[in-house]
Amino acid sequence: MKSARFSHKQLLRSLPPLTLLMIMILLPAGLWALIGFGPEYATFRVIDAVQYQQTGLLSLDIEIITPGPDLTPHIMMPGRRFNLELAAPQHLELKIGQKLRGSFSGAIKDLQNGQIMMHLDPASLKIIEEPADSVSISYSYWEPVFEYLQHLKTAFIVFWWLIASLLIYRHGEQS
Amino acid sequence: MQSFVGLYGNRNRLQVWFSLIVFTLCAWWTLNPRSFHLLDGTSITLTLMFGALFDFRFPFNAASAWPEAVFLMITVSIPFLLHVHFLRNSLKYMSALNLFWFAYAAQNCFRLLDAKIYRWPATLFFVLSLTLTVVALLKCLQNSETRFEDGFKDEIDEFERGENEESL
Repeated sequence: MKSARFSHKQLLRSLPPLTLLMIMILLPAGLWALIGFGPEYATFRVIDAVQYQQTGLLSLDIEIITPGPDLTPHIMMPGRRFNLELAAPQHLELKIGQKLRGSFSGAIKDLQNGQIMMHLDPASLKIIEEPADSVSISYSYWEPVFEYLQHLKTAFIVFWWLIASLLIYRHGEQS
Repeated sequence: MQSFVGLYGNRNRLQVWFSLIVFTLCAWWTLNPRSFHLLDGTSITLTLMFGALFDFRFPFNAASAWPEAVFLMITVSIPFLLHVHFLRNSLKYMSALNLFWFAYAAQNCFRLLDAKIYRWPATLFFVLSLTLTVVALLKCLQNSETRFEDGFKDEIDEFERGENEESL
Protein backbone atom coordinates (compact mmCIF):
# COMPACT_ATOMS: atom_id res chain seq x y z
CA MET A 1 0.00 0.00 0.00
CA LYS A 2 2.84 2.29 0.99
CA SER A 3 4.79 1.53 -2.15
CA ALA A 4 1.70 2.06 -4.25
CA ARG A 5 1.21 5.49 -2.70
CA PHE A 6 4.86 6.24 -3.25
CA SER A 7 4.71 5.36 -6.96
CA HIS A 8 1.54 7.42 -7.26
CA LYS A 9 3.35 10.39 -5.76
CA GLN A 10 6.31 9.82 -7.98
CA LEU A 11 4.06 9.72 -11.01
CA LEU A 12 2.39 12.97 -9.97
CA ARG A 13 5.78 14.59 -9.53
CA SER A 14 6.98 13.49 -12.96
CA LEU A 15 3.80 14.61 -14.72
CA PRO A 16 4.52 18.36 -15.11
CA PRO A 17 7.94 17.91 -16.73
CA LEU A 18 6.52 15.14 -18.94
CA THR A 19 3.63 17.38 -20.00
CA LEU A 20 6.06 20.20 -20.67
CA LEU A 21 8.21 17.88 -22.77
CA MET A 22 5.17 16.68 -24.71
CA ILE A 23 4.11 20.30 -25.33
CA MET A 24 7.62 21.18 -26.50
CA ILE A 25 7.67 18.26 -28.92
CA LEU A 26 4.07 18.21 -30.12
CA LEU A 27 3.37 21.94 -30.50
CA PRO A 28 6.14 22.77 -33.01
CA ALA A 29 5.27 19.57 -34.83
CA GLY A 30 1.64 20.69 -35.06
CA LEU A 31 0.47 17.29 -33.90
CA TRP A 32 -2.24 18.74 -31.69
CA ALA A 33 -4.02 20.53 -34.45
CA LEU A 34 -6.65 17.92 -35.22
CA ILE A 35 -9.77 20.01 -35.58
CA GLY A 36 -13.13 18.37 -36.16
CA PHE A 37 -16.21 20.03 -37.61
CA GLY A 38 -19.74 19.24 -38.68
CA PRO A 39 -22.20 17.62 -39.16
CA GLU A 40 -23.50 20.21 -41.55
CA TYR A 41 -25.80 20.12 -44.55
CA ALA A 42 -24.40 21.32 -47.86
CA THR A 43 -25.37 21.23 -51.51
CA PHE A 44 -22.88 19.77 -53.96
CA ARG A 45 -22.47 18.46 -57.48
CA VAL A 46 -20.91 15.12 -58.45
CA ILE A 47 -18.15 15.92 -60.96
CA ASP A 48 -16.72 12.45 -61.38
CA ALA A 49 -17.16 9.09 -59.71
CA VAL A 50 -16.02 5.51 -59.82
CA GLN A 51 -17.22 2.32 -58.16
CA TYR A 52 -15.11 -0.47 -56.67
CA GLN A 53 -16.20 -4.05 -57.14
CA GLN A 54 -14.27 -5.56 -54.23
CA THR A 55 -15.35 -3.20 -51.45
CA GLY A 56 -18.59 -1.88 -52.93
CA LEU A 57 -17.42 1.66 -52.16
CA LEU A 58 -17.97 4.73 -54.32
CA SER A 59 -15.21 7.26 -54.88
CA LEU A 60 -16.84 10.62 -55.57
CA ASP A 61 -15.31 13.89 -56.78
CA ILE A 62 -17.64 16.61 -55.60
CA GLU A 63 -17.83 20.39 -55.79
CA ILE A 64 -19.51 22.40 -53.03
CA ILE A 65 -22.26 24.65 -54.40
CA THR A 66 -23.92 26.02 -51.25
CA PRO A 67 -22.30 25.46 -47.85
CA GLY A 68 -24.31 25.06 -44.69
CA PRO A 69 -25.68 28.11 -42.89
CA ASP A 70 -23.44 28.48 -39.87
CA LEU A 71 -20.42 26.19 -39.64
CA THR A 72 -16.92 26.32 -41.11
CA PRO A 73 -17.34 28.88 -43.91
CA HIS A 74 -13.56 28.78 -44.51
CA ILE A 75 -13.64 25.06 -45.23
CA MET A 76 -16.94 24.52 -47.02
CA MET A 77 -16.35 27.23 -49.60
CA PRO A 78 -18.49 27.30 -52.76
CA GLY A 79 -16.46 25.83 -55.62
CA ARG A 80 -14.19 23.81 -53.34
CA ARG A 81 -13.65 20.24 -54.43
CA PHE A 82 -13.38 17.13 -52.32
CA ASN A 83 -12.84 13.47 -52.92
CA LEU A 84 -15.07 11.25 -50.81
CA GLU A 85 -15.34 7.53 -50.33
CA LEU A 86 -18.65 6.22 -49.20
CA ALA A 87 -20.79 3.11 -49.31
CA ALA A 88 -23.34 3.18 -52.13
CA PRO A 89 -26.62 4.57 -50.69
CA GLN A 90 -29.56 2.17 -50.75
CA HIS A 91 -32.40 4.64 -51.26
CA LEU A 92 -31.21 6.35 -54.46
CA GLU A 93 -28.91 5.84 -57.43
CA LEU A 94 -26.02 8.27 -57.62
CA LYS A 95 -25.04 9.60 -61.03
CA ILE A 96 -22.30 11.86 -62.35
CA GLY A 97 -23.66 15.38 -62.87
CA GLN A 98 -26.34 15.19 -60.16
CA LYS A 99 -26.90 18.02 -57.70
CA LEU A 100 -27.40 16.65 -54.19
CA ARG A 101 -27.77 17.64 -50.58
CA GLY A 102 -26.16 15.74 -47.73
CA SER A 103 -24.76 15.87 -44.22
CA PHE A 104 -20.99 16.46 -44.03
CA SER A 105 -18.60 16.06 -41.15
CA GLY A 106 -14.83 16.14 -41.14
CA ALA A 107 -11.50 17.02 -39.60
CA ILE A 108 -8.36 18.89 -40.55
CA LYS A 109 -5.53 16.41 -40.34
CA ASP A 110 -2.52 18.56 -39.55
CA LEU A 111 -0.41 15.54 -38.65
CA GLN A 112 0.99 15.01 -42.13
CA ASN A 113 0.04 17.65 -44.65
CA GLY A 114 -3.02 19.55 -43.50
CA GLN A 115 -5.39 17.42 -45.53
CA ILE A 116 -9.07 17.79 -44.85
CA MET A 117 -10.74 14.47 -44.15
CA MET A 118 -14.36 14.72 -45.20
CA HIS A 119 -17.14 12.27 -44.42
CA LEU A 120 -20.55 12.24 -46.03
CA ASP A 121 -23.45 10.36 -44.49
CA PRO A 122 -24.96 8.21 -47.32
CA ALA A 123 -28.35 7.99 -45.55
CA SER A 124 -28.74 11.77 -45.55
CA LEU A 125 -28.40 12.16 -49.33
CA LYS A 126 -31.21 13.79 -51.25
CA ILE A 127 -31.32 14.50 -54.98
CA ILE A 128 -32.07 18.14 -55.75
CA GLU A 129 -31.51 18.26 -59.47
CA GLU A 130 -30.78 15.61 -62.09
CA PRO A 131 -29.73 17.03 -65.48
CA ALA A 132 -30.54 15.04 -68.61
CA ASP A 133 -26.85 14.42 -69.33
CA SER A 134 -26.16 12.65 -65.99
CA VAL A 135 -24.15 9.47 -66.43
CA SER A 136 -24.35 6.37 -64.26
CA ILE A 137 -21.21 5.45 -62.30
CA SER A 138 -18.99 2.80 -63.88
CA TYR A 139 -16.58 0.35 -62.27
CA SER A 140 -12.96 1.34 -61.75
CA TYR A 141 -10.73 0.60 -64.72
CA TRP A 142 -7.61 0.27 -62.54
CA GLU A 143 -9.06 -1.94 -59.80
CA PRO A 144 -7.67 -5.25 -61.20
CA VAL A 145 -4.15 -3.72 -61.06
CA PHE A 146 -4.37 -2.85 -57.33
CA GLU A 147 -3.82 -6.51 -56.46
CA TYR A 148 -0.45 -6.54 -58.22
CA LEU A 149 0.69 -3.08 -57.10
CA GLN A 150 3.24 -4.38 -54.58
CA HIS A 151 4.68 -6.78 -57.18
CA LEU A 152 4.93 -3.95 -59.72
CA LYS A 153 6.86 -1.84 -57.21
CA THR A 154 9.29 -4.68 -56.62
CA ALA A 155 9.55 -5.29 -60.37
CA PHE A 156 10.52 -1.65 -60.93
CA ILE A 157 13.45 -1.93 -58.52
CA VAL A 158 14.52 -5.35 -59.82
CA PHE A 159 14.41 -4.02 -63.40
CA TRP A 160 16.90 -1.24 -62.58
CA TRP A 161 19.13 -3.70 -60.70
CA LEU A 162 19.17 -5.75 -63.90
CA ILE A 163 20.10 -2.71 -66.02
CA ALA A 164 22.81 -1.76 -63.53
CA SER A 165 24.25 -5.28 -63.47
CA LEU A 166 24.36 -5.26 -67.29
CA LEU A 167 26.14 -1.91 -67.23
CA ILE A 168 28.81 -3.02 -64.75
CA TYR A 169 29.33 -6.47 -66.33
CA ARG A 170 33.01 -7.27 -66.89
CA HIS A 171 33.92 -9.04 -70.13
CA GLY A 172 35.97 -12.22 -69.78
CA GLU A 173 36.60 -11.77 -66.11
CA GLN A 174 38.80 -14.42 -64.50
CA SER A 175 38.13 -15.29 -60.91
CA MET B 1 23.66 -3.39 -77.27
CA GLN B 2 27.26 -4.62 -77.13
CA SER B 3 28.49 -1.18 -76.12
CA PHE B 4 25.76 -0.96 -73.49
CA VAL B 5 26.75 -4.21 -71.73
CA GLY B 6 29.82 -3.63 -69.58
CA LEU B 7 29.91 0.11 -70.23
CA TYR B 8 30.76 0.79 -66.59
CA GLY B 9 32.54 -2.52 -65.98
CA ASN B 10 35.71 -0.84 -64.77
CA ARG B 11 34.04 1.10 -61.95
CA ASN B 12 34.80 0.83 -58.26
CA ARG B 13 32.56 -2.00 -57.01
CA LEU B 14 32.18 -0.54 -53.55
CA GLN B 15 30.66 2.65 -54.95
CA VAL B 16 28.50 0.65 -57.36
CA TRP B 17 27.06 -1.52 -54.55
CA PHE B 18 26.53 1.50 -52.35
CA SER B 19 24.61 3.40 -55.04
CA LEU B 20 22.48 0.30 -55.75
CA ILE B 21 21.55 -0.03 -52.08
CA VAL B 22 20.74 3.69 -51.80
CA PHE B 23 18.68 3.42 -55.01
CA THR B 24 16.71 0.46 -53.63
CA LEU B 25 15.86 2.27 -50.40
CA CYS B 26 14.99 5.58 -52.09
CA ALA B 27 12.90 3.94 -54.81
CA TRP B 28 11.04 1.92 -52.18
CA TRP B 29 10.26 5.08 -50.20
CA THR B 30 9.22 6.93 -53.34
CA LEU B 31 6.85 4.09 -54.27
CA ASN B 32 5.49 4.01 -50.69
CA PRO B 33 5.19 7.75 -49.95
CA ARG B 34 3.30 7.22 -46.70
CA SER B 35 6.19 5.37 -45.11
CA PHE B 36 8.93 7.18 -43.22
CA HIS B 37 11.78 8.33 -45.45
CA LEU B 38 15.25 8.32 -43.90
CA LEU B 39 15.70 11.99 -44.85
CA ASP B 40 12.48 12.80 -42.95
CA GLY B 41 14.64 12.44 -39.87
CA THR B 42 16.79 15.32 -41.12
CA SER B 43 13.77 17.48 -41.88
CA ILE B 44 12.15 16.86 -38.50
CA THR B 45 15.40 17.43 -36.61
CA LEU B 46 15.80 20.76 -38.38
CA THR B 47 12.21 21.72 -37.56
CA LEU B 48 12.55 20.87 -33.91
CA MET B 49 15.87 22.76 -33.72
CA PHE B 50 14.68 25.91 -35.46
CA GLY B 51 11.14 25.57 -34.11
CA ALA B 52 12.46 26.69 -30.73
CA LEU B 53 13.83 29.89 -32.28
CA PHE B 54 11.24 30.70 -34.94
CA ASP B 55 7.57 29.94 -35.18
CA PHE B 56 8.03 27.21 -37.78
CA ARG B 57 5.62 24.35 -37.72
CA PHE B 58 5.64 20.95 -39.39
CA PRO B 59 7.63 20.94 -42.62
CA PHE B 60 5.07 19.07 -44.72
CA ASN B 61 2.39 21.72 -44.58
CA ALA B 62 2.65 24.72 -46.87
CA ALA B 63 -1.12 25.15 -47.08
CA SER B 64 -1.84 27.20 -43.99
CA ALA B 65 0.79 29.93 -43.69
CA TRP B 66 4.04 31.33 -45.08
CA PRO B 67 6.38 29.99 -42.32
CA GLU B 68 5.79 26.46 -43.58
CA ALA B 69 6.59 27.47 -47.13
CA VAL B 70 9.75 29.25 -45.97
CA PHE B 71 10.76 26.22 -43.97
CA LEU B 72 10.16 23.93 -46.93
CA MET B 73 12.32 26.22 -49.09
CA ILE B 74 15.13 26.05 -46.52
CA THR B 75 14.91 22.27 -46.30
CA VAL B 76 14.84 21.93 -50.07
CA SER B 77 17.75 24.36 -50.50
CA ILE B 78 20.13 22.07 -48.56
CA PRO B 79 20.67 19.62 -51.46
CA PHE B 80 21.20 22.57 -53.84
CA LEU B 81 23.92 24.00 -51.57
CA LEU B 82 25.48 20.56 -51.23
CA HIS B 83 25.35 20.09 -55.00
CA VAL B 84 27.22 23.36 -55.58
CA HIS B 85 29.77 22.38 -52.94
CA PHE B 86 30.38 18.96 -54.47
CA LEU B 87 30.66 20.30 -58.01
CA ARG B 88 33.09 23.06 -56.98
CA ASN B 89 35.33 20.53 -55.29
CA SER B 90 34.94 18.10 -58.23
CA LEU B 91 33.41 15.42 -55.99
CA LYS B 92 31.52 13.86 -58.89
CA TYR B 93 30.27 10.72 -57.16
CA MET B 94 28.97 12.69 -54.19
CA SER B 95 27.16 15.15 -56.47
CA ALA B 96 25.56 12.19 -58.27
CA LEU B 97 24.59 10.65 -54.94
CA ASN B 98 23.07 13.99 -53.97
CA LEU B 99 20.49 13.55 -56.74
CA PHE B 100 18.73 11.09 -54.42
CA TRP B 101 18.12 14.08 -52.13
CA PHE B 102 16.55 15.97 -55.03
CA ALA B 103 14.30 12.96 -55.55
CA TYR B 104 13.32 13.24 -51.88
CA ALA B 105 12.55 16.95 -52.37
CA ALA B 106 10.28 16.08 -55.30
CA GLN B 107 8.67 13.36 -53.19
CA ASN B 108 7.93 15.95 -50.49
CA CYS B 109 6.19 18.13 -53.06
CA PHE B 110 4.16 15.04 -54.01
CA ARG B 111 3.28 14.43 -50.38
CA LEU B 112 2.22 18.06 -49.95
CA LEU B 113 -0.38 17.79 -52.68
CA ASP B 114 -3.49 15.80 -52.02
CA ALA B 115 -3.20 13.36 -54.94
CA LYS B 116 -6.97 12.84 -55.01
CA ILE B 117 -7.64 16.53 -55.67
CA TYR B 118 -4.50 17.90 -57.36
CA ARG B 119 -4.15 14.89 -59.63
CA TRP B 120 -1.87 16.20 -62.37
CA PRO B 121 0.59 18.19 -60.24
CA ALA B 122 0.84 15.26 -57.82
CA THR B 123 1.38 12.78 -60.67
CA LEU B 124 4.05 15.03 -62.20
CA PHE B 125 5.96 15.27 -58.91
CA PHE B 126 5.65 11.53 -58.37
CA VAL B 127 7.01 10.77 -61.84
CA LEU B 128 9.73 13.40 -61.32
CA SER B 129 10.88 11.85 -58.04
CA LEU B 130 10.86 8.35 -59.53
CA THR B 131 12.79 9.56 -62.59
CA LEU B 132 15.30 11.33 -60.35
CA THR B 133 16.01 8.12 -58.41
CA VAL B 134 16.76 6.31 -61.69
CA VAL B 135 18.86 9.22 -63.01
CA ALA B 136 20.74 9.30 -59.70
CA LEU B 137 21.51 5.58 -59.97
CA LEU B 138 22.80 5.89 -63.55
CA LYS B 139 24.79 9.04 -62.66
CA CYS B 140 26.31 7.26 -59.68
CA LEU B 141 27.40 4.37 -61.90
CA GLN B 142 28.81 6.78 -64.46
CA ASN B 143 30.67 8.93 -61.93
CA SER B 144 32.07 6.20 -59.70
CA GLU B 145 35.83 5.93 -59.85
CA THR B 146 37.50 3.88 -62.55
CA ARG B 147 40.53 3.31 -60.36
CA PHE B 148 39.99 3.51 -56.65
CA GLU B 149 43.57 4.76 -56.16
CA ASP B 150 42.50 8.02 -57.83
CA GLY B 151 40.49 8.90 -54.77
CA PHE B 152 43.53 8.57 -52.54
CA LYS B 153 46.12 9.97 -54.96
CA ASP B 154 47.59 12.53 -52.58
CA GLU B 155 47.77 10.08 -49.71
CA ILE B 156 49.47 7.44 -51.87
CA ASP B 157 51.97 9.99 -53.17
CA GLU B 158 52.71 11.10 -49.64
CA PHE B 159 53.11 7.51 -48.49
CA GLU B 160 55.45 6.68 -51.36
CA ARG B 161 57.50 9.82 -50.77
CA GLY B 162 57.84 8.85 -47.12
CA GLU B 163 58.99 5.36 -48.04
CA ASN B 164 61.55 6.77 -50.47
CA GLU B 165 62.90 9.08 -47.79
CA GLU B 166 63.17 6.14 -45.40
CA SER B 167 65.08 4.03 -47.92
CA LEU B 168 67.46 6.91 -48.55
